Amino acid sequence: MESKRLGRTQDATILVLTSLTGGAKHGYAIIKDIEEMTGTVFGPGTLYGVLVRLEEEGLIIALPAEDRRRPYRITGAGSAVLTERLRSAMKVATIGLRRLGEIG
Amino acid sequence: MQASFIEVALRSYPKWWTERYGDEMRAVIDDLKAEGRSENKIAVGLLRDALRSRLQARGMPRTYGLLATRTRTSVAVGTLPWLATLPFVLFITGRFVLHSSLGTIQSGYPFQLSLSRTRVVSSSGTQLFHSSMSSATWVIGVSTMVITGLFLLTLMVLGIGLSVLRHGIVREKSSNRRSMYFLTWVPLVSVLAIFALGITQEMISNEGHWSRFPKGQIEWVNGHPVLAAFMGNATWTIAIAGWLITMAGLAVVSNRVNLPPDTLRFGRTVSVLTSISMTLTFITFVIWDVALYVQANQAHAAGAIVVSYPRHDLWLPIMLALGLAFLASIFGATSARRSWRTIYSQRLWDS
Repeated sequence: MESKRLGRTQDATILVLTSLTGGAKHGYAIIKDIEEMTGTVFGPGTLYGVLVRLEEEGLIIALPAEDRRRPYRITGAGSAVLTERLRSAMKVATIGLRRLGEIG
Repeated sequence: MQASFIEVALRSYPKWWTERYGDEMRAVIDDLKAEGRSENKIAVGLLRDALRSRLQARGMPRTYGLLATRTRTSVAVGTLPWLATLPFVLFITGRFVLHSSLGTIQSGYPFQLSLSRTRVVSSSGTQLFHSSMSSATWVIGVSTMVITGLFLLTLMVLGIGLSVLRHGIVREKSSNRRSMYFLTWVPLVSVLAIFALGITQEMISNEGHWSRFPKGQIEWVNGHPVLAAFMGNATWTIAIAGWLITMAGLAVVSNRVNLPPDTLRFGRTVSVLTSISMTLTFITFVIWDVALYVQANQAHAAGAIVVSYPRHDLWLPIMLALGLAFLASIFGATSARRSWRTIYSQRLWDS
């Protein structure tokens, strides 16, 4: 199952938003980008579940389709949410790594 | 074969979803297939997401048509589980046997299984009020009473809901109005047919009389036992067919009919009441069973009234079905409330 390969701490929302910070992408390009970034394998069902939710919440916006492929772009609200969540994740990661003795 | 599995998965998405995302999703799937991704895995992921899309309706455009359809479907999900499972619950709790070592029990159970109303006739023919009944037996009686009461109340609510639905169909000028209206008559026609057959069967049976023959045997003569038996079978057939067609018909109506906003609002109320009734029925059904087990430990006193149910062995599958049905009913009612709230808060019927 594709979702099993998503680690518990890996949030699909963060992954998709992070992918879109590199510029507007269509579905397949998002899947490949996430795969290259983290090794996480997304299926189209999982991806579109996230895209529909993000679009409904106004965190991404759909651009005009190009030959069946419709690119998505992150919005200002999406960037703000992503920044906040990455900072929070970074804080947890820093504390955790320090306690593990991985960083000074 | 595998391609068709993906196709089936894609078709299981709601129509509004396919219209909005269908083309681009197909493009992504074509790319993934071209790089050799497992088609079965893709299809399973699609099915999961399609189910989620149907349940949560995320991204669904906020139009009156779509939300009205969702409200109607939710009302059906909130009420049909009750129709599907309650006959089985009544089938199990409706047949009972009362025992007492003191004599024969006279009781109009379930409404009279109480210390003051259940009587035992001793072997000498003396009637007496029974004084020995375990608390578990009393709980069993009350539970059965509650289940029957909830059934009758819900039946009444659904009956009113059906008449409001008919009224709503008549007021809405849509092309399929006639066929939808016809379907809503199925439950009433079935009930009337069952009553008519039952009364006829009783009349046929009563035409005969008991007669004593020279050898001393007593037999029923001059009746129409074959015809009466046929009527009995016909009654059951119509009851089962009417029940099945009612459920199928209401499912079709909920999917296709056009209804005015006030009818939708009433439908939401009916589904909420039905889900409350289903929840209470489920709880009572569990209490009823627990009390039956407790009774086995409480009713050892000589002469105590004990109640048993010949079909109690079907309790577990019915309880599981009832549990699933009540969860579905709660989901349906909650969804109906949400959809109606969106319609109402945005006054979508004006758009």
